[in-house]
Amino acid sequence: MIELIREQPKGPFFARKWWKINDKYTVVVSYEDSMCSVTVTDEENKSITDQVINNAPSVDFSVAKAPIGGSLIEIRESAVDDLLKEIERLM
Amino acid sequence: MRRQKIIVQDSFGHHYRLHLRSEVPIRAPLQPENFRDGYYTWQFVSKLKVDHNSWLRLLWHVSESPPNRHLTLHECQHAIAALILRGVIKLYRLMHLDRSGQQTSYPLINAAHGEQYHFIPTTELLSHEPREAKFFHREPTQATHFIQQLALTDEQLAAITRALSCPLQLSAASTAPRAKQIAQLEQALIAGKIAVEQARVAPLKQDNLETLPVTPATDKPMTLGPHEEPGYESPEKTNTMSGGEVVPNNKTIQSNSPIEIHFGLKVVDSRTQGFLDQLPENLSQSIFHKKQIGVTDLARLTAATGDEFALFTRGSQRLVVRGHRNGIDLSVGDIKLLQEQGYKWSGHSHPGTFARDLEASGNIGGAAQSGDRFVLDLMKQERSLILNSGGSRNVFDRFGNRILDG
Repeated sequence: MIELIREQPKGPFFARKWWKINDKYTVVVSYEDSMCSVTVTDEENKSITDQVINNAPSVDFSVAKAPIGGSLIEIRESAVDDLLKEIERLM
Repeated sequence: MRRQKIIVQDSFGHHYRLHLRSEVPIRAPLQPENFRDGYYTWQFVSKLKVDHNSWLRLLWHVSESPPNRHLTLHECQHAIAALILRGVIKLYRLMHLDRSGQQTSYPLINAAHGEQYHFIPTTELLSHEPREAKFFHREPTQATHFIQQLALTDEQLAAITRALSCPLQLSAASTAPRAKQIAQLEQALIAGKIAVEQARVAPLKQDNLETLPVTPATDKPMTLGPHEEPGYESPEKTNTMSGGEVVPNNKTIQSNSPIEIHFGLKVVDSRTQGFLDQLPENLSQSIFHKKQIGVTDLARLTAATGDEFALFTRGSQRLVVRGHRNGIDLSVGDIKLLQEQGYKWSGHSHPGTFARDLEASGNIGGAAQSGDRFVLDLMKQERSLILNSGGSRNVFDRFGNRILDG
């Protein structure tokens, strides 16, 4: 189950949406100017973005590094839904 | 709550700082006393003026003896000697306390460019509250240059040598020629016996968790954090209530210390829980007024959750962002956006209570730009602060770390 739990308009940061997948995993999508960046955490708030990166080859994305965090998935806005479904399938 | 420094005296009136391995390492260029022989170490310990209960409490603290086990004084002294030999406890001689047992005041030197300095015995840093000082033991040329730049008058030089003559055996000002006094001062700086501290307007309150490391006294403040950046306001500037926080309605609410929360000795207080309620998950963000939240709250939040938190300041606004166990997934674009809006990166917190948890990550320049230092670059700042779950602090810049709690 993919559920939108919160969204926030652009302010200090780019606009964001928080999705909950299977009531366990939190996916945060940040809508930047030219693409979106996505980060995924588990129910203990540990980043599992790398696991998604390594196991979601069917979605077209690139990988960036958050300077004080971990990996970020960079993806076109039109592909966000596909990525969410892929994460649901994987998890 | 900062741990009280343990200072003891022997039967000759010599003072020593007992430094436990669990404490933040001592950064000052000082060597501990050298103990190798068991009998000598025990003899030394037995001559320290420490009562039975104090030794017992120290042993309980380092988990060498359970609270319900009673040791005789003799057994305590043996146990302490063993800990010294194992390096769990180190002793540093505090010569500057030997004469009076009190902190001496050190003359204020007005430099030509408007700043003010104290020359202090380096051991002073072990007996007083954590503070920032400059050492020259690795920079002999800079030591010479620094003293030349000060252009000390004869009176200033005399005052310095007088104040430092006892702990450092400098020649008395009245008897030594000026060149010799200058040379002695340089040698003591290079040897690490003396440190230089920039003066402050007001002394730090030891019991005030919310006081930033330095309150500058000069036209160009020597600051340790991003508060030297234009437009930055210290997160702690208005938090002057000891042990508590000032909230908008002027009520003071007591908060439990980060270390107490981390070790489960105290529950997450309602105030900290109130922040958490507004920051429920990864990348949650919330803006608070400067009177509502300080940097120590980042440590409390991390102690309560195990997650990293970051604080950005713009005027009276404080923007707090929650990360996850291993970092805060703000993109380069997010950080640039913050910078463009005039935010300054006041600090962030790392989970853990060890000194290593205070280390800043990353590099600037080249292809491998990453980590905390890369964010300094993106935010166009010189410095920022890292706190750990214990509330200890490190002001880091592009090149190094300056652990403040030690």
